[in-house]
Amino acid sequence: MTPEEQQFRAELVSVLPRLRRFGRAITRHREDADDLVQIAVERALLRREQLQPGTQMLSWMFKIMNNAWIDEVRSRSRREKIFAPEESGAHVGVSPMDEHLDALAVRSAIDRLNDEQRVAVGLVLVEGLPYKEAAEVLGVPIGTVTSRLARAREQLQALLSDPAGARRVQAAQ
Amino acid sequence: MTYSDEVLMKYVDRELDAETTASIDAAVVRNADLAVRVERQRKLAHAVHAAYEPVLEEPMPRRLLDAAAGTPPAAATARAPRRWTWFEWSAIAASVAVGVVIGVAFIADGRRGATDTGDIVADRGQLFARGTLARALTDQLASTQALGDSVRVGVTFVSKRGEYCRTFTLERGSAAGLACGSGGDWRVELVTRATPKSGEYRMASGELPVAVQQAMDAQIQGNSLDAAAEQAARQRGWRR
Repeated sequence: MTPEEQQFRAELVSVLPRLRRFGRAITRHREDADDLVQIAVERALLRREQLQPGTQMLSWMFKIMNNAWIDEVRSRSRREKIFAPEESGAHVGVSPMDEHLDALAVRSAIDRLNDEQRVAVGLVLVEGLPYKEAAEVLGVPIGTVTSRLARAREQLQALLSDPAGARRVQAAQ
Repeated sequence: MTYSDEVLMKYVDRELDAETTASIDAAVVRNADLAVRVERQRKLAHAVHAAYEPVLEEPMPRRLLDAAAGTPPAAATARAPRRWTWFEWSAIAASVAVGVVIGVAFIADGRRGATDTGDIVADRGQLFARGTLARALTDQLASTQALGDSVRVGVTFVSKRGEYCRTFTLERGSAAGLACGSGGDWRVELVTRATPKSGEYRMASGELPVAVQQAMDAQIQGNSLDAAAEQAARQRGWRR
């Protein structure tokens, strides 16, 4: 193993926890997320020379993950149909103004966003990327990221603040 | 001045320019409704972030670590390239003559020894030395083996896992590998074609295939065994 490869691999290992977290947010499933991380790591190792000096390893990996998710993992996702209304009903009705929002309720709500919105939420709110970086990861204009985030947040507020809102969102899907 | 939800979202995400940020900072103090809307945005952003925070603390699956690190983490630490001693060079000198056919028998159902016909057999996802190869690994000493032996043992060392490991070369240097184990049960860690670059005797100059050398560098603990230590290890039946 060359010193460059060792350095590259060490960096990969250091970002693994965050790749898993992002993967969890976009795939909504633990095993799918880990599969996605593994595929992305393997692809990254094959395309190591494409990582430009000065580029963030993390952003680059998010991009590889997002692409792998779209063209490979999503189609064979273990996760089945999104929640039955009864199940989701157990978690909604928590006002966002409550001091502590139930993490499970929040994840359930995010699970019900559409793919594009969920990825935007994963990059910006879960992983804390600036809009500009998120736009680069997704290969879209910054305004697109902004509007996806705005719509995602509206839906999340609706899902989390009242069951009626949740039903409306569900009906719209 | 009224602010849209989108602007308040960008405010909470610190995506606004300094001037707009300052104006909202000031407006929030005067306008209770606005303060509630900002707080709502902030709570949501915080809750979303917090909902996935525990993932960072989960134990990392082994398969992901292996995929990223390339080797089991214990062996992944960087090592400086080793210098080879004259003893090691002579030990892995060319083996000319008598061929041993390396047969790989795959035991589909995992019953060890069911078809023990080759020198290397696959069993439960691992390769094990059998036959001529196993005997050579157990019996031969690098310092005393004959030039004509069909298997030539090279370097013997103790691995980071605490097992004995030995490099070997097969018939005229056509293949080389590394086997590790304890008590004379040799697990083949690696076997690779040793294609001579220029002429049949290339291996004579002591060119251990790069893959074998790398595997050895990754696994070796301390120095390789000298002739006396190798002999002592054989006498103990390769147990430590």
